[in-house]
Amino acid sequence: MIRHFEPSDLPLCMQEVRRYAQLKDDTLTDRLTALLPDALAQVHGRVCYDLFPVQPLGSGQIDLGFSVVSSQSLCHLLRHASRCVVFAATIGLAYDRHIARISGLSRADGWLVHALGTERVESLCDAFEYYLKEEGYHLTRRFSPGYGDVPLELQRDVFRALDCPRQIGLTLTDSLLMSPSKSVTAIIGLTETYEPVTDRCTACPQVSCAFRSQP
Amino acid sequence: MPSCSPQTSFPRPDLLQYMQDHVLILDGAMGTLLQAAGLRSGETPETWNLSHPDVIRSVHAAYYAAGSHVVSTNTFGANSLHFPENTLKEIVEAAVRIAREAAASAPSGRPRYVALDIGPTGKLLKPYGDLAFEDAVAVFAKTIRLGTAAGADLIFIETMNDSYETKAALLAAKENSTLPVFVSNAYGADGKLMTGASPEAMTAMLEGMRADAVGTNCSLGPDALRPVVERYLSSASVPVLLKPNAGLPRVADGKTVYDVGPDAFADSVADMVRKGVRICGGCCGTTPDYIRALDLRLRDLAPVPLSEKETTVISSYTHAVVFGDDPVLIGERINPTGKKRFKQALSDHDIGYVLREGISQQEAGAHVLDVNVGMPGIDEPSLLTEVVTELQSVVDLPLQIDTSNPEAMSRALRLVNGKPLINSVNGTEESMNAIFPLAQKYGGAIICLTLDEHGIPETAEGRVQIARRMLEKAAAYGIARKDLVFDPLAMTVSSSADAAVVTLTALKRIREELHCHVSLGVSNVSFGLPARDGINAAYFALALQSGLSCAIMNPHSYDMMRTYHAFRALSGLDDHCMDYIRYVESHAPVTSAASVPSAPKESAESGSLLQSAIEKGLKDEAVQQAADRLKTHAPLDIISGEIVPALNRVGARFEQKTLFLPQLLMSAEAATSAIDVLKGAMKENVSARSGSCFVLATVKGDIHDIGKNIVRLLLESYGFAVTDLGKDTPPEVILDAVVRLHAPMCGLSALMTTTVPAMEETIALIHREAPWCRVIVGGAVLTQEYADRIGADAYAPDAMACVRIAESIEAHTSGKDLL
Repeated sequence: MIRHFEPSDLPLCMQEVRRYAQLKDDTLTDRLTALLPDALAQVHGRVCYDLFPVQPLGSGQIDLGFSVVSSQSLCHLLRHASRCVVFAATIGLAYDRHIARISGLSRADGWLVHALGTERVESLCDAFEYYLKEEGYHLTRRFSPGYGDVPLELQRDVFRALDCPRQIGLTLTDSLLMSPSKSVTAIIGLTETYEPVTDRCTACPQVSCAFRSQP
Repeated sequence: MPSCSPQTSFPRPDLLQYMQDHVLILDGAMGTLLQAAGLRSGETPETWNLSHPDVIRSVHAAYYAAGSHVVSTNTFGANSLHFPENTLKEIVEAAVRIAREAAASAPSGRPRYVALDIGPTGKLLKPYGDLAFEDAVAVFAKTIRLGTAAGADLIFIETMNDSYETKAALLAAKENSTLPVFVSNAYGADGKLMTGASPEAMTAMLEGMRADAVGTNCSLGPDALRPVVERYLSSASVPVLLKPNAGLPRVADGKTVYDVGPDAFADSVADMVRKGVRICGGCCGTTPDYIRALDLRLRDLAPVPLSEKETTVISSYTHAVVFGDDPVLIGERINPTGKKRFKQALSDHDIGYVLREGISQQEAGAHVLDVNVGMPGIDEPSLLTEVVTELQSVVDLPLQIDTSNPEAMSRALRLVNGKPLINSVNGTEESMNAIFPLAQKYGGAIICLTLDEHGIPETAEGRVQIARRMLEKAAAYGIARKDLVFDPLAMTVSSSADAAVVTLTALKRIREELHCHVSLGVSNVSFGLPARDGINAAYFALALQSGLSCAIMNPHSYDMMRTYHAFRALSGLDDHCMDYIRYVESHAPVTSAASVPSAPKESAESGSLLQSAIEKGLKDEAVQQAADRLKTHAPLDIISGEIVPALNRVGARFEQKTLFLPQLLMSAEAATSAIDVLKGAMKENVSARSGSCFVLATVKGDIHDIGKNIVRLLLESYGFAVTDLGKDTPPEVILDAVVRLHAPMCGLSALMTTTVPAMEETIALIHREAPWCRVIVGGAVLTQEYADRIGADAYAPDAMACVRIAESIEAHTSGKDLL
């Protein structure tokens, strides 16, 4: 059964906003502060999710219950998981319209609002993980279609399994882009015991990524 | 297969007639029952019309037996995006046939109808998604034609969570069928659709397009939907529909159960029927038991009579704007008449400029935006539809479509996401015959000018008479009185002493005698007079006091806005005068020394001030300094001698990582604003700029454009003539622009691996057909290696790098081997 998570409040981390804006110093505080109230008012965080059994099939294949995937990185991530949570999260279309509106007046402000939106949806995902932990689950890190060797095409199956357009108003274009744009889909393994999450970036082949953590 | 000829066991009167004195009972969930019968998760229920017709028929039969007047065909997802055309035909025809068979064998005692069920496509419409509005109309049209031909009695558009897609479906129904149409939307707990619309906004748009019933289904249980239903009941004149879920789902013993049982469900729905709901049923989680319980409670219940709502309402994709005591302000600035810069923007196809006019009027307090892009030498229908589409993707105000070109009007009305104001019709037969049919089809409140074949009557009586004639003619098209807003025409007081009085008298009489709302283009009154704002504001106050409902005006005019706020404060519309105080405090013209334009400074100092403003990213300061600088220097010298060096210093700091992207963008904005001032001074010589032509686009399939927009800003600040083709741009369109402009360079952006093939295709096309053009690529997934592999001439890891590459191409436009 598809379930919902809609937190009323999400903690805000300005350091993260600066990181997504590629602002590596502490300038522009006034400008960011001025943009916050209107932007935050446009955020409507919604998550839909479901639980599926996980079955490794050997030779790099894994059955996720809603789709069979060839991916070494997913096999590795879920090696101790018997089930997984598949979720889709979005902060809504109003935020995209807000970015467009602010960008129309100032590209610089538009860029900052865009970075704030990225922080908002990541914060929504973090809040969702926290909620799952409160429910008593042990979680692996979250892993999205397109990460590592997980094919982006898995998005189609995720969208089918979660009925995203109806449940949270999230849609997929023919070229597998999500709209609204400030959205995340991901898979989280559920394990019997707690395992510390190791470095998030070393497994990823996107070596030119601006956000890759330094070894 | 049994014969599909209807063997009606009970006479089936005309549906709309039957509804006049009966509450109509719909069915409950289909999916819930099919899952119980073995439908697997991920399997498409519609294919069961072909593989399990008996199961589908028995579900319909169970609902008819439980008391449903109407069952919906199993066609929720039956559309040409999900099925090939032949299969779609089989599925829809089978669906209607199966339902008809169930109706024919239903217990007698009440008429049984079959609704062709139309669900959402699951796609978001452009520009935020990838389904074009007309493509959505075409998708719905196919299913509707098939279902109508197969013998459905009505069309039920349901579970729609986006207003624009709802409009596409209703338009398809109206254009491809004469059957009655019920339209039902899915609301969240916040009382809005996923894309933001309120029940009042949906009612305004759907009633304007002549839906036969409106309402809500799915999402929530009956109690939780009560506030939404009450808002429908107080805004809709047509019957209101309610089809809630059986509460919220949860998992118990591995099965999905809903938390509202049949009796509680039926009690709650019946209560809403007593309040005025006339069509009801159940959605997810409901079964024939729920419908039976509902039928029991509704047996002796007569429907609450319909009440015609006399309110004049227009809407955007989020909210409705109601005409009443509180005056409505219509921003007039999107109009080229008398505006050199605006005309320039239209001929340059600078849609961004037009959007800024819209956004800034909203910020200034406009409630509605007038949209007029008519000027000689442009393709008005195309430009108007483009501007309307772009505006409504960033501004959530209702629009007033302003054109004298019926073709442009028709195409714009089709694409408006909401119920617009139509500007305008007049009392001539020609005008009424052109405009009223459009309003009849697409909906909209119409601005009616009180003039006719004989011109503008000099007397108030003459104008009121024209208004009466227009009311009669509109009624013949089924257009209600509430949808006519009269403009008794503000005339120039300097040429006729009683011009203002006559208009005010006509205004008052139309309000009192015809009970219609009135609009005025106030500023006409002051033509030829000095200090026009003073006359305009005084006239505005008089007109408001005479009952003016809305005004077409400039929301940036301090005098007009202050009058508006003062009127509201004096009329008891502004509690504790808070709005007035807030407005005056934030807008009062500053007269301190600081705002007085500074005297021309010594030139070296002023030059460094301009550079410093750009380096600090201070837009207003840069504009001021550029204007100062113009007094002593030529525009091109200022650009090459001051602006570009300042930008270069900022760019170098960005490359050295001592300054970051947001600051770079702020400097670029300050520079482009300064350049704009300088361009204004280059009267005959606007094109005499230094930079080369640069064609820029996000490739086909890619709907994200933030990176491309940043590149555009930087290129423009460096003086490049950027032709921005936008996002999701087909290769041919990009090639067209490159060839037309003989552009030496072209920038392509792609965000995802899935759209890189479109980039590769575009590069190959340009290299083949326009070998002089160098292609620069960028975007999140690209690397130098990837760029090489797809044949790009250059890879720009960031926006500044793109500028550097463009500069190097510009310096060596003769050779390909330079890169």
